[in-house]
Amino acid sequence: MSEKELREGLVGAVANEPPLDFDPDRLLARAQREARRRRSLVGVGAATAVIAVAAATTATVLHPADEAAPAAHLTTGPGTQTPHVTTGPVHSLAAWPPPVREYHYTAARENELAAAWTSHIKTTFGQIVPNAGNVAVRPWGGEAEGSVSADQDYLDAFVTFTVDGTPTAVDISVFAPGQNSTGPQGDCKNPCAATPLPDGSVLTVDPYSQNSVHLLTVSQYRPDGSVVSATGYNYDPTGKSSPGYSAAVLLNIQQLTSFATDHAFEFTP
Amino acid sequence: MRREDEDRFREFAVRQAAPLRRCAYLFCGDWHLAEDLMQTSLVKIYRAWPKVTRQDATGNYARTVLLRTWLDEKRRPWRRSEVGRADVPDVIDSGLGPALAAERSWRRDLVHQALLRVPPRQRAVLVLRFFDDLSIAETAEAMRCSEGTVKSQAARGLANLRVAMAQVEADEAHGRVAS
Repeated sequence: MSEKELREGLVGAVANEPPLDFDPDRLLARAQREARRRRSLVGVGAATAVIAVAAATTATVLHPADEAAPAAHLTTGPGTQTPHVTTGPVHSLAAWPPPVREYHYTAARENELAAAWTSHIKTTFGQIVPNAGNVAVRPWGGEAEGSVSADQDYLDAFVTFTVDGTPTAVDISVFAPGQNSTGPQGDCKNPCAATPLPDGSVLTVDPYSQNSVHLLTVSQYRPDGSVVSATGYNYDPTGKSSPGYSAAVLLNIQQLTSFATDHAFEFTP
Repeated sequence: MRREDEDRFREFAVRQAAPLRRCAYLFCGDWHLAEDLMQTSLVKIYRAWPKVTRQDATGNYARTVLLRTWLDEKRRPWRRSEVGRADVPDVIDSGLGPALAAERSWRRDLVHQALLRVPPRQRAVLVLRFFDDLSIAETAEAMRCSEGTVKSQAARGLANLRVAMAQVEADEAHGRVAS
């Protein structure tokens, strides 16, 4: 195919463009509303913040998750509150992305990282999810599972496991410093809650529900500009047949926080 | 934001809305998602507007934000599925005979269907280079990668596009709809 044919094809592809009903005033109103919400993000979600900070502290020492903790619901109950920590460097919420040095990652280096993370997960998964069975780490990749290429600045993988016989998985995504340009301000929208942590990072807890599907993503935006996310599901997202849905996500916030704040997941050149 | 900055942003948004939506559609293959991506990108640009206006090429910056927004959207764990087949255009080029016009229409549709099968970053390079007519340097800036990466991604993208076109044609021949 010639360049000319490609250009013609692309122009032709948008030839049936539907009418654009664009109202700049409405867009401005939305932008201003989101800017206000972002400014108030620092003080938002006190109850969630308490839990998230406590969970992060727990995760730092890789303390096994509390077996009595409720499975991740999209609300936070008073029964799970712990001592309040409020000393986070609040400025970090507004200073994303931090200045980072640009690195080039070879595919070989990325595969090394992937292999190390796989080993690490195999060692620690049982501590974080004590009731997990049949734990398996699927290939790390990017645009597709197992797809790793030079200068790819993120890697993700599913860890599949069962809880009381129910299959599910957690998705772990590790983004290199500089990969994420939007930061918690841009990524974390209601009902997501963001919390600055004492180490200068920001932890976000982002629930998602649609019909029978429930997901919960905990992400740590780190001072070096990297981001690590862990997503739990109420079904098995890797299954090849129609999934069965549990009532709630099968990992709780503390467990997901343990993965997201684990500094073994570092994208180093 | 100062009033004059808001006015400048409003003008920018009106000027860029349609081109950004077209570019987003070529990325994702869904006009509704394209509209969402365009709006979200403009909101992000609004937040950074004082910084943006100091840049010479605000249009290219908008492409960067759009691209990031789309890639971020794709990476969300509950990735939205993409529409693998665009609607056949209603508008036929009246300057051609019916047979030739239909052939050209099919050809264009084929290109876009095949494009949606090309990996996202390669697809983005092809759209930025051959639809938005960005230079290699501008594409590298928009994608935040080296010019060498743009060249290699474009070469791989074109190769994959050819393969994908053959697959789409084969699927159509067997009466299957691309997904």
